[in-house]
Amino acid sequence: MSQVGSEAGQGSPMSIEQRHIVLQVQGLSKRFADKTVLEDITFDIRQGESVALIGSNGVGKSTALYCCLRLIEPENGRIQLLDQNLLGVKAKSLRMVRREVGFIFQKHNLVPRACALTNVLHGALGYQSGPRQWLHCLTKSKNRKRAYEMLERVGLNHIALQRADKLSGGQSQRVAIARALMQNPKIIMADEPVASLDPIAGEAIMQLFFSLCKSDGITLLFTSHNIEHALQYSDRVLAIAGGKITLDACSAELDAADLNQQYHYG
Amino acid sequence: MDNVRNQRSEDTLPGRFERTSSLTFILYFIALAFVVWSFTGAGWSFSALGQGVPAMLDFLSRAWPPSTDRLAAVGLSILETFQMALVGTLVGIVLSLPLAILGAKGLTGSRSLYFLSRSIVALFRTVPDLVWALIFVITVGLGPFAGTLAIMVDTIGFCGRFFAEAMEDVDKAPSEALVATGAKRLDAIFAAVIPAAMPAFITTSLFALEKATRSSVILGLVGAGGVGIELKVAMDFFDYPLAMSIIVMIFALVLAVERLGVWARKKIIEG
Ligand SMILES: Nc1ncnc2c1ncn2[C@@H]1O[C@H](COP(=O)(O)OP(=O)(O)O)[C@@H](O)[C@H]1O
Ligand SMILES: [Mg+2]
Repeated sequence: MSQVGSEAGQGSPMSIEQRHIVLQVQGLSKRFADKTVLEDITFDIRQGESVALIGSNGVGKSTALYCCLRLIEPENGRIQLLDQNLLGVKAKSLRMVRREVGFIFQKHNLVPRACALTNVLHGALGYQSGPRQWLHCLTKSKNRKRAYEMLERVGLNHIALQRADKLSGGQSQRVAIARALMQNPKIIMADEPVASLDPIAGEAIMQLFFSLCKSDGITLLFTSHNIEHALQYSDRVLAIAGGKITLDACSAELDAADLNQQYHYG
Repeated sequence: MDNVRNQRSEDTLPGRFERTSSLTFILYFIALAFVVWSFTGAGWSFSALGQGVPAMLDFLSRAWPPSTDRLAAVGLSILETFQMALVGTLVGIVLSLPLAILGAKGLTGSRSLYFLSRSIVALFRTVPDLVWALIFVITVGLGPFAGTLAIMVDTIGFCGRFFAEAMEDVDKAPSEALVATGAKRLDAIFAAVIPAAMPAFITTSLFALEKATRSSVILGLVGAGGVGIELKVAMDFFDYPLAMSIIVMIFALVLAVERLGVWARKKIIEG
């Protein structure tokens, strides 16, 4: 497994504007049947940034995020992800890009009958294929140890052998985060990572998530319909409305009440 | 006033039967006639049934008590029968897994392999096990191996279909999440889809073993090993007490395997 992460921008003195662009989206469009959801989405994300994608319900936040990893096939546009032209690459190269990007779903999407440790281990499947990566009891000690460390980082090492379907919503999402960390990702994309959790658990997980990404220098792109979360846990906010990016500003300069009014939530 | 309302509801009351066209009516009639005629074709006879009752009692009285002379030999033969069923089922399960993966809709995404796998499984399932046994007796010779192969093919036909359906019914989100991490599709299937389908796999496999145990008893009749041939010989030589002891042991074997299946399924559903 490649050992990145350490060289990533830990306390890098470079200002964000000088850093490398890790994700560049240009003129992205997507329609479902007769309904155009995204018309012309254009934005850049630089190494080490934390960016929130906001917008009211059904505006296409999830669709945009899924397109960035080609989990949904976009209609038009250009996506440059980790120096690869994502829409032009073959299946193998697509896998090579995907394994460096963690993706957190709104619903954790763990394997329900497998234990937490095995679920975390699955994060390495992009690097190592075959039966030994399917279950924690079959894998190399090195991988097992690493998976356990990732669980430790999300504070769940004490339930490593608990089955995923016996975990609470918050615990499941932590395991999903540990699985993403197992990938040793350069970027993590998260689609409403705490929307299905209660506010207290949600707050704790956003906190954990944010601090893990900052300490590892992982670039973070997340969607949220919670303006307070979006402002608190991002350096920059992008807003989608009418299929376009209508706002691209530093979180520090934004006001929650204003945004709430502008991007009305109901 | 009341009168008027009654009149109206009389008019709108639906008939007891829906009106059918005369063609439908003729088809119904032909179908009914065929069923009646089939009783003749099937040799259905109440008089033979009446005569059969005393003959059955006669058989039972001559067969009782079951003979214990060849108990050890019959016991070994019963064991061989079960071993055929066990090995045939196990090998069949292992071989049906790749066919099921290819034959589960949308799992691997290859249309041609999907149709190929579905066709093989359908062929294995639709040709009866006794016919497979006859074929294998010709190809690998008399004896239990022919029966084991017949059971294996029958198991592939059964498990290949139900394993595929179990995998189609599984929630796809966890395996899609693994594909999103850059995992190969096959790894995602083995790491996420198969664990989710495992309870269904085990239940199906236990049914396959029960089915195989019942067929393994019959396969001996065409020389494909197992206790069936002993039963046939005993019957042909009018050694009814021996036949009875074989029947009792078959009964015990099939019942034991069925009870085991019920117990194991209950364990799985609870766990
Ligand atoms: N697979 C799909 N088929 C058809 N319409 C879809 C599909 N996925 C999303 N949509 C539609 O696209 C719009 C944007 O959805 P989504 O990206 O989930 O919005 P958001 O995440 O901002 O709430 C919605 O109106 C939704 O109905
Ligand atoms: Mg959404």
